[in-house]
Amino acid sequence: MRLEKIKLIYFAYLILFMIIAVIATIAYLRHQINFNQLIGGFLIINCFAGLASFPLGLSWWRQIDEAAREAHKIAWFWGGSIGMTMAILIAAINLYFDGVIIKAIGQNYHVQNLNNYGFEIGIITVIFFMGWGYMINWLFWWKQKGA
Amino acid sequence: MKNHLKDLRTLKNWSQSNIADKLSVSRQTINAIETGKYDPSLPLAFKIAQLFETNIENIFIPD
Repeated sequence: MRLEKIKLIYFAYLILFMIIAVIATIAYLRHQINFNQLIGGFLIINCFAGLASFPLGLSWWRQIDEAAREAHKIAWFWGGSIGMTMAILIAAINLYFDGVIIKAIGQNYHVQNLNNYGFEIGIITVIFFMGWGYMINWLFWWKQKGA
Repeated sequence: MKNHLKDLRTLKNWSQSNIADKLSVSRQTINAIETGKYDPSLPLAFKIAQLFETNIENIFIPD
């Protein structure tokens, strides 16, 4: 499959997911689903989409050029590592100062049962920081190369 | 690593997009190579040399 078509499929999925996310958020705000179902639903959809798109991802990786691959490798290593370190730092601060961060988030955003879902929140936090780290490093790499 | 890619490309009257298509890479990659901010792999360097019908050492200059 050609690279343009793969990009189009990914873009279409992104639009579809955004529509689903808006509908699900409205359902959550109307108390038709709870917070766990909202976040859990997002994760399940993305996990299945990720697995289903594996052949597409493979085809995309084979077609991009060496500089594009290099950018992703650098972003994976540095962005992922820095993101993971940030998550560990937050966990350390939270533990050392007796749950100061989790309390602040709970107070500001009124997240229900925040303390009961530490494991899940931990995973999402690590993914969040690693994802941002990846994206920033990827952009920085291309900016540095003058693109 | 410095290179003469831009000079050679200009001599042939090719744009960055033209050369990118011929080498199956992106225009951004060509720009990064021309400005010396990205060193191509050996296979890509050979492809560039073949495209300009010359040797690698006539295009790329080691620091």
